[in-house]
Amino acid sequence: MTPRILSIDDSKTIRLMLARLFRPFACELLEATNGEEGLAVALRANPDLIILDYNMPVMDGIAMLRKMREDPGMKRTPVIMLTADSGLQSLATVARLGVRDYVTKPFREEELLAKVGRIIPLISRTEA
Amino acid sequence: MTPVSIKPDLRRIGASAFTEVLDTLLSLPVIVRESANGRPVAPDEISSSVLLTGQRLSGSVHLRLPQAFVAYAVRRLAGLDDDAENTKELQDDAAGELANMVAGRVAAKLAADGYPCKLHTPTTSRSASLPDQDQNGPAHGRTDLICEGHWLSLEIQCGYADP
Repeated sequence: MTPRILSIDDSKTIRLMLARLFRPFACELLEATNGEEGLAVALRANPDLIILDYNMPVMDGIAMLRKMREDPGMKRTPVIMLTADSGLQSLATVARLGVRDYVTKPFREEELLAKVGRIIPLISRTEA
Repeated sequence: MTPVSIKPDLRRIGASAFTEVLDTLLSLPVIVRESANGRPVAPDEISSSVLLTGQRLSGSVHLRLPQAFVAYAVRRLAGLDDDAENTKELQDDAAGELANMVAGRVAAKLAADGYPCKLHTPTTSRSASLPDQDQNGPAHGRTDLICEGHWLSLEIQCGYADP
């Protein structure tokens, strides 16, 4: 089955960048622009991986994660956190919420792909 | 005798943070200028800012970027071939995201110097101004870079809680 990735980021630039990055791979990319919208999409679509921005308006990444982990079906959904804030405090917080990995913005594209590839299979569309 | 704390070198921090972001995100080399002498004012410039707050510091990071550079960055990052999609809204978003990333690097370096701080949401405007440098106001450091033929400017301002 095609893996489903949910990208939650208030920046359209980052969402477009991720769409370009994952376009060559056989996966379905869903998008949301803040934690509240992302939570609704996650509960409805049950993604195989969530790439979640830390700092967003309306509902930030931490608040969204806390809410999401309350749902029995979403307790173990893998999450990679994107953050511009590499402060130790925020990293400790995300670790407590079961975040599988994190990437500090700006990131090298191959770094993010490698981290995603450790969680879900990334197969080229031409091979799929 | 009252100990005097050594304050972070904001110009060095800014140059390093800005260079790292452009290299990592866009793989673009930069030339760091010693001063803003000769900097042309592009017809359309975008300013983006991020506030920094911490127990020992409150400050801000401001970028001033030519619109043509931001449009180029959007094309590279988003992979857009069609200029019609490279909208003013998207360029403002990209300028804000660049400021956010630079501010994140600046915050990490300030934290390493003993001044941890939190980032706020970026704001963007279509104005060509950086904050005034008041000699009696907060500490500041300005960095001017040339990247892909464009002059880019960064101003960091920091007010410290300790003397």
